Amino acid sequence: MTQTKVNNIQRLKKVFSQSLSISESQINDELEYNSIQQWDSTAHMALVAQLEAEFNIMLDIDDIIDMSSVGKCKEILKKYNVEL
Amino acid sequence: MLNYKIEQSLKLSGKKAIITGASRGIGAAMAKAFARAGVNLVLISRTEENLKELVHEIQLIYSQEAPLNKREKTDGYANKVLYYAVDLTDENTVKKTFADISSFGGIDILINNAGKMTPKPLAFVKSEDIQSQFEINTFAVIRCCQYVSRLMIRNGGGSIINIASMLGEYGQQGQSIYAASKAAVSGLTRSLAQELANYQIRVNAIAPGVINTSLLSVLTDKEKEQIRTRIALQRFGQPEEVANTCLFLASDWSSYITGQVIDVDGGVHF
Repeated sequence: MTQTKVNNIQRLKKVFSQSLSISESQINDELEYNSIQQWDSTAHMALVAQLEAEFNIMLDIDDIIDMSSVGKCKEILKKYNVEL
Repeated sequence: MLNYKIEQSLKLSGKKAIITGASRGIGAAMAKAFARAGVNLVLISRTEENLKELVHEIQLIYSQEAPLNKREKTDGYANKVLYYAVDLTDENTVKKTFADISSFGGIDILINNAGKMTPKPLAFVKSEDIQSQFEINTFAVIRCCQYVSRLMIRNGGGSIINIASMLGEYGQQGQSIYAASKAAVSGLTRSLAQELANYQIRVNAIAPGVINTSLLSVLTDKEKEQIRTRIALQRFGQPEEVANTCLFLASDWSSYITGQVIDVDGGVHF
């Protein structure tokens, strides 16, 4: 695993943790949208805004809708050339 | 034009604003008013030619006024005014434009001013008349709100100002499609205000009445007089009077106002 990949995973966890107000230990690929109280539609939009700011990208609307889990989020970010 | 003390009290200096349909008329008046208030600008219009002239005028405003009020330099906008000649009806272009704008950091203010009016009696309205007016008057506004809201969330909030229309509130013969597209903007404004309040984003609209722009040149003197008699203040509005309302809605003077459609029409009555 490259250092960039390790750093990006850490950055991703931090964004999820801050946007959803949960601890980093709760964040894994299986964590799904609406599976916890904190990841509702309001938090989802904040999450998107923070992901875009952190990785300097602009997500397609379809990708925002598809971002149904942490694992799915990683898949989507790879499309935007984020090494994960 | 507001006086210097009022402009300063708005505390907009150093903020970043996007204005669509900025190249002429009400949009150009807004751009100049915000420049005088020290706002960093991103101006969007379909045609580059008028935009270039306006940008030149605005740079003069900045160069003349900046030393007077000692405006703070902000990150990002090296020239304080950027412009994009883009077609807002093209979704991919809108996305690319906002992606580019996002590289300059968050946005504080969006004014959705771009619009199109094709007056026709219902019997003569073609599908393309409906499509083209809704594309720019309604759909482009929705798209810009979608993209800018994410940039505003990064900033911890912002103010979206949609330019609706008196016709969207009251209707008029021969304007059914335009009125419908602008009424949609009023509904969008009220709903988005509820949805985006969580992120400290305020969303309001202005419904201008008859404003003294080049659009009025299509009317005969007789038609103008007929319209004027329906206005309580007995005159047409000036673009600067709409711009002043925008300054108010963009500033913290309106910090407890969201979801409102404010008529700037001199007291029109039908």
